[in-house]
Amino acid sequence: MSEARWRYFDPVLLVAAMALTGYGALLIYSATLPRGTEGVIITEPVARHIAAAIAGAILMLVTARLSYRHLETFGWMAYAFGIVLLILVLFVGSSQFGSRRWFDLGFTLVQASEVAKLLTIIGLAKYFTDRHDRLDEWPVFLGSFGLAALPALLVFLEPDAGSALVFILLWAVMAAFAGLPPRKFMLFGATIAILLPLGLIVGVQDYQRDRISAFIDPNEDPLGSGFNVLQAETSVGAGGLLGKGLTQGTQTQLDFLRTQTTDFIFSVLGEEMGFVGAMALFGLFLILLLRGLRAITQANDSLGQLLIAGIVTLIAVQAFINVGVNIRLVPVTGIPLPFISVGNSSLLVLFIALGIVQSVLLYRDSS
Amino acid sequence: MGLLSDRRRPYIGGPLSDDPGLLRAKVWLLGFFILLLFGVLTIQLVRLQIFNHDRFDAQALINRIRTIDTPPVRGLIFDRDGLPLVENIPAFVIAIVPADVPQGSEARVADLLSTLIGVPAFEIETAILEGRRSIDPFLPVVLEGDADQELVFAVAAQSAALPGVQIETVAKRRYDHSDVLSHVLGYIGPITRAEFEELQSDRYRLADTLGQTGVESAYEPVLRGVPGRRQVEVDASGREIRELASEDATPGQGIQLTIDIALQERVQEILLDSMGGSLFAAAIVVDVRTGDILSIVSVPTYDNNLFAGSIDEEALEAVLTDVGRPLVNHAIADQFPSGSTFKVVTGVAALEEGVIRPDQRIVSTGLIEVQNEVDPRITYQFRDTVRGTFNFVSGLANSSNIYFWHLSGGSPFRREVAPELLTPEGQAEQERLQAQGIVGGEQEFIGLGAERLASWARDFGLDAPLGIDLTGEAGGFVPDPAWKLSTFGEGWGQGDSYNFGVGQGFLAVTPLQMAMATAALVNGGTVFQPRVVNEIVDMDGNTVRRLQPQIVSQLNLSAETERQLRLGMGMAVLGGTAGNAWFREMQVGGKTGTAEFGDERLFRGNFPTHGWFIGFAPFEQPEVAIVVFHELGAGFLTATAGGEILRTWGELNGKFGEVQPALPQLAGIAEELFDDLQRRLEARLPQAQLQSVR
Repeated sequence: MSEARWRYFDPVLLVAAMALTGYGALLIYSATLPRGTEGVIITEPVARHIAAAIAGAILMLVTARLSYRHLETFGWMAYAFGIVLLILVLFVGSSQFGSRRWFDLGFTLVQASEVAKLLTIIGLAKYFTDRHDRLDEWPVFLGSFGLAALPALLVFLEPDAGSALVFILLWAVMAAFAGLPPRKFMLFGATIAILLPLGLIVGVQDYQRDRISAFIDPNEDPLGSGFNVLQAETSVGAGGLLGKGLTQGTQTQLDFLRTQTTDFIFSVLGEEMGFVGAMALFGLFLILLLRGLRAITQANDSLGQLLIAGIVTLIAVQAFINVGVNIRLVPVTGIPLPFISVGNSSLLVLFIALGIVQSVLLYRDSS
Repeated sequence: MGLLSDRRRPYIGGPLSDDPGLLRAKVWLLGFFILLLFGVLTIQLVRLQIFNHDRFDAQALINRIRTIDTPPVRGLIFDRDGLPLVENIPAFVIAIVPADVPQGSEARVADLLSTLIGVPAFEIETAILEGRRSIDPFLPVVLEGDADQELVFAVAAQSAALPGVQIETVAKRRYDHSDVLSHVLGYIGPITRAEFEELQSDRYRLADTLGQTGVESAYEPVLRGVPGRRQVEVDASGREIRELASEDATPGQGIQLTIDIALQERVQEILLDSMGGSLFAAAIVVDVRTGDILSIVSVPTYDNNLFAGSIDEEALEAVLTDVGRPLVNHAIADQFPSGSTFKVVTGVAALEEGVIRPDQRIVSTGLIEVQNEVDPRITYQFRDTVRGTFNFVSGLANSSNIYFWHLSGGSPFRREVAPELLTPEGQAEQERLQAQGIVGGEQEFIGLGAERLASWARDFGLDAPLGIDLTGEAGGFVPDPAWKLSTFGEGWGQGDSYNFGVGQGFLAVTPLQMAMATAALVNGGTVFQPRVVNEIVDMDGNTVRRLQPQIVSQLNLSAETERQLRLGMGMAVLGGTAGNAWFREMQVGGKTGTAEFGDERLFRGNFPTHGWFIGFAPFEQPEVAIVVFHELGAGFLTATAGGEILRTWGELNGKFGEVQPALPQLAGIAEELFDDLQRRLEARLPQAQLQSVR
């Protein structure tokens, strides 16, 4: 393998990802700044975020160097590994905020679902590629859904309804991209639409019902389940066009925002960086995502195309859900903001995912 | 290419589609999907950050800025010599701010707090949850209004585990002389919801106390002071981050009572000793020159310290169930028929209206018969045990009902002569009286009538609260024909006028009203607004502002009328019905009243009666007027207590002068002796001085 393939490496992806991570570090810095601090100090979460970003960049390069075609061989193992993780976490995971989502490795927490999302993308890509000539068969259709539904069900049990939704959305976009027949989609969608209300009645837990009612009318219980929603919306709204300035937002600094380094980190951005800061964030995301779309057109096989489509979808959907929660477009659910939220597993998985994208670019010539 | 030479499996997937156009379409579609997602987010951001920015910015400000009122130090209450009657002692209030208790930890906080302060956990939890949903979830809810130090330390030690729990230092009142001053001082108590809502604009807080009764309530605006204000920045858990602005509280001003504590104590002793079977009794000593109340006692009394801090339920229950209603200040809050004490009002009215000359005499045979205006066959008999021939002074001194019936209602109008008066002896007597110019028998005599008498009673302040600076004053009631017609649908009869003239029937007055009316009789006709506070003072008792005496009404009394009244009341003590009030060291004036009340006849067919006494001293130059009232009593007995009170006042104020001649006998003395005593009494009334009072 010649080192000449590095000419296909897309530096924009790396730069955009690093810029996003740096932006995240700034926000985490502001959110974790101890009250009354003079001058600039590096807080532990900021240091971890930066360290993870550096490790991520290295992992990205390493991943890029490995041919994504190995996934032909190891695709199923990867998927199976993801499922095992999701099952294990239900039993040995450590819980926070009432749900079991993390493995405690001592030095860091690993969120199983974040890893499983990428592994499921790999599984689905492999599945669709293997069956690209039988895509209009029902067993193939349902089989692909099953691949996504299994991890979705497992994360739903954690409970983490937001991630469950992400798995389903990944499947939908990837299946459409693979070319599953549209009428099957419609028929299937109609069936789901009929069954879903039943599932909601049986499967939705109290805290989820609270979150949904808090989403619909947070003022009903402004200090209870509606608190976070209202405070997030207030923070973002109070930011205005230009924001209060980094570390100057009262909602952030006086802790009216909860979980402000993870689920509600966008509210920190909204309050302190304002509309302009939000547009900058969206701009970085769009650069990253559009470069991803470009990569799809450069890939020369369906495995590569599907992998990238899944990864792009993963980043776009997670960003949308996270920001949507902060500005009352989506009920509260714990989805991290890609590259921005604190969370080493999420960050490393994202960089590895970008490494896969780079790998598809690097290995476009070989067949 | 052997299998081993290329370890990668051959590519089997192939391009996703052979048609590059279809792939491009899919990529575009995915791109649109992504742009759509970010577009939706952007629209919502424009809405929040651009269009609704002001509203959210204001909300963020409300979140972090909290204005805290700091309670002022309450003003003290001093006696007339400047000695403090109340102390502010620190007390600790344990309260909880519902909004500051983290969601989900209510039960834990409630449980822990419950084990410390003993309030049931579910009550605490309910308070938190209800408070959260109230208009202002940041309002502290008081859980323990008077925590001792041990408890405060215990709660403070656990403060980390008790988010939202506050310990606040407040002042508690401790009253001195509470045994004799409770009705005057009153007490302070926690603000009620209703009061809070009414007073919120005055910056009262739910944790505040305010005056509930007595001067604590009447002078609340003076005593309270002005709360300070601190504007602080708080974080999400209500912790104070920094102070943005502050304004000190202005301490309340003090008040100085007109009450003479020594006199007050003695008056209460005298009342308690004289109560007999009465459920309650009251007495007032007032300075006739200012309306200052020197003593005001209502027994049974209560300890107002009972209401300071945590309330002793058992003691409270005892106070609430006492038949004498200790919480009621009977001296001002209860009204009764005044009985014969009202004769002074009837007398003044009759003299001033020219209904009778002071020397004109009316005979009492012990009976007046009045025919029903509609049905002449019905006659009403008005009996009186006091018989004889009376002028104004002797009529008042002997409390002749028939004399005052004439003054109020005139002579009875008859169509036929009553059978018992047709005897030859009766006829002869009739002729003799007429020859001497004495009113009696069938002679026509025009009385005041209800309208004129009611008008005078109102001028004396008997039908409206006088405005004493205490809570709960009743207004009394003066009837008149129009009222009777509209209330009962019946006309006003002559009998009603008779009853009215001697303080029976529909009339009702408070002891306070009788005291102030008595003062007006001897001070030149000024009905003062009674008061128990005459100075606003600072925290050390130094005068800040003197309060000027206020006048309710000014009666236009002639000197002769006053002279007659004072003589009549003097003679009542010296040789009339108020003889029990007589004492050797000082000449005083007085008038008794025995007022029937209720609808049930007791005591051999008679109605139960209240005992009244009004009086003044010294006789020569009146300085004080008094009223004494006994629920279930008789005027001549009440006069004993009245005399003792006047004697005590004289003793405490160095008024004892020439020792009086011993009283010959109590009542029913011979006319010659009466006249002799009256001449001697008249000699003590300086004419010039009387005029100068006006």
